[in-house]
Amino acid sequence: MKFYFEKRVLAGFLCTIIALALLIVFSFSSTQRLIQTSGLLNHALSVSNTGDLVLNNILDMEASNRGYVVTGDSIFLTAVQNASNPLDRCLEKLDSLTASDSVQAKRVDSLHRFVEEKRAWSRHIAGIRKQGFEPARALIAEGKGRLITIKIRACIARLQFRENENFQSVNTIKANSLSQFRLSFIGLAMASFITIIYLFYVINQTLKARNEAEANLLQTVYFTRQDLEARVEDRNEKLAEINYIYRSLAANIPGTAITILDQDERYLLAEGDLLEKMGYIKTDMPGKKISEVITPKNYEYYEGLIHRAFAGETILVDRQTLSGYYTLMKVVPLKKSNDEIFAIMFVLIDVTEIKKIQVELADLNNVLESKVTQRTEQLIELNKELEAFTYSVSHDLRAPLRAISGYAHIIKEDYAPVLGDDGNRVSDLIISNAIRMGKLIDDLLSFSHLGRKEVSRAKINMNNLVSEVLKEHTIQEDSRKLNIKTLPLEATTGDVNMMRQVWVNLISNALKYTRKKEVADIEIGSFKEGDIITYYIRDNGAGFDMQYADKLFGVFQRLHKMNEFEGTGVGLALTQTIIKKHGGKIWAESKPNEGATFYFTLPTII
Amino acid sequence: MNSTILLVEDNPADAELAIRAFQKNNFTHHIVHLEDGQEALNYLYDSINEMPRLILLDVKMPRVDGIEVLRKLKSDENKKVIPVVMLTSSKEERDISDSYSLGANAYIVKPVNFTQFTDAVTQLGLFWMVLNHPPK
Repeated sequence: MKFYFEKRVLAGFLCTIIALALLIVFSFSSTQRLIQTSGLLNHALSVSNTGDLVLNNILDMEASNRGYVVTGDSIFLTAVQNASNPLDRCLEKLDSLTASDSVQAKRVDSLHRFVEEKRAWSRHIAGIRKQGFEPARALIAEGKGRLITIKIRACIARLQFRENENFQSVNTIKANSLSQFRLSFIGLAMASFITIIYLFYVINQTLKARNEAEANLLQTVYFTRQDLEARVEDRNEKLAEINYIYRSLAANIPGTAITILDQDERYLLAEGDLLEKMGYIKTDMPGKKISEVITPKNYEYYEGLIHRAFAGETILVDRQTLSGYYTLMKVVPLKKSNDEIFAIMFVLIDVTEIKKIQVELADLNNVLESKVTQRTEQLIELNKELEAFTYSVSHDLRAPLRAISGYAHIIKEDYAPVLGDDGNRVSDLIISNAIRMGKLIDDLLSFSHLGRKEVSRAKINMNNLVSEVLKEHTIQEDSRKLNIKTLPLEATTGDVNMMRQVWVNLISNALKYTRKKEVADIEIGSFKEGDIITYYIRDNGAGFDMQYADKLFGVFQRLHKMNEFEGTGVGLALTQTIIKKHGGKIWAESKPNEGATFYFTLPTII
Repeated sequence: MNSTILLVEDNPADAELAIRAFQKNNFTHHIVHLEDGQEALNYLYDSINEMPRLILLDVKMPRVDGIEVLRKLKSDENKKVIPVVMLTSSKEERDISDSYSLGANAYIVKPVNFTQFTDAVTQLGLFWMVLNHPPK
């Protein structure tokens, strides 16, 4: 904008200057021409006047001559003589005036000749007069003198005409150039005028804009200043708030004391309830030197810390104060942005309670540890007892059972005829119950063994394992139709023997509970979801009511009557224990008489 | 050839049933029944007695148990050729592994089912007394 204005102003000025320069040039040249013209005019006038003077002198000369002729008075001869001198001066003047013009010069030459002729004639007449009047009069009457005068008059007239002509032509040129000059002058003057007006307008506009901008700026500055002042005030208020917040923060953390010392070891800040607890009056402290506030003995201790902190070290100390408090103290150097330490801060926390609790906790821990040791010992002892117990169960309980079943056999064998039908039936019952109890004991033992057994891990090909187990268990099957579908199974890692036990239990269950079906449909499969593999075995057997599903995996829990399906109720409990030991889950879905599906999962990552 | 079977069994019922089983299967061999390990050792280290053809040794017995008797016998150059069948009520892994590592020739868990028990004893007798030929 500014640039634009300046360019316009500059162009305006340039135009004006050019116009003025042209004006000056025009004026100068016009003036020159005018001067020239008026010179010419003067020249023409001089020539004309001089010509007139010549003619007058000639006429005077002629009149004087005639006077002499008439009178014969010699005085007229003197008058003729007198007219002769100015005539010569006039002729000389004409010579000089017409020197530059050859035509006029020639004419002046002719004039010279005619004048001389006239003089000569005058002298002749005067000479004749001396002889007498009449010859002189006759001579005059001849008119030769007049003829010479006419020639002179004509010559002068031609001279004057020529001069006049010259003057006229110059005058025309002068008039033309004058009108041209006038036009140019008016044009240039107008142009200058317009340019100056335009310049005035532009400058005025610029000035106006500038003034406006200045006014705006002033206003802005004014407002900015006001805003700034408001902000400073606001900032000050905030600063005061923050200061207050920090002070409150320092003052209100329970069980603490926060003090700040400047380079002269004077308190800048002293806050916190611990100060009061330790017997200081915190309002008295700011401004005082630390050595004036604390005891000399205490100061001995603090001096070292103060020096270290001012050297830039951050210190953490655990200390029992002279007033008996256990404190945790942190000494922090406070630095300016240029890393100069301008003050140091002491933060003390009362850890007396914590210390007390720590001691108590340590005591408790000791007690706990000894208790744990004691319990562990007890546990080991109990485990040993349990082992002894199971051993004894397996050994000592089975022996009498063997005896019962054995002697019942002997009775049957040796006394069958005496016993009669009912006696034999009872003997059979004794035997079968003894056997069943033996089985219960066996299963219980294997269950308790399993609980203590460590899982050994190895890669297991489930397809092989399942087909082995299937082979072993279907070999004893009678003629009923088995429709067993085994889908490809995911491999896993685990304890092979335990996993075999799982499949033995699940497969033999499936075979057992489908026994009453004409066709046993059994499907074994698996699927993988993320890190978990789920295996399942589905049958179309007796199934069970889902409301008893929670009892399915309990030890000695059975959902079917003994005379429907035999079993001790340990198999699934055992299976669940194994699956849990492998980090998996087992569950079942079923409906009575519609078969059951058992699922178990094994994680791929253990 | 000696034809004595030494039965070391503290439980009289088990002993009776075992003897009956042998008898029922017409084993004509002389069966000596002793009631604990100490008695067994006394018998075996008494030069009057003929060395048995087979020893049936219960594991759990008062005074000196079967494992102890087995250890003594199998560490004795003269006695270790005698086949020893451990007879026990327990399937305790430790007992089984101990027995075999000490050199027992067989380990039989006595079944509760008398029929099975009889079968087991019969087969034992058959194998060790009839089919097996001990080094001379």
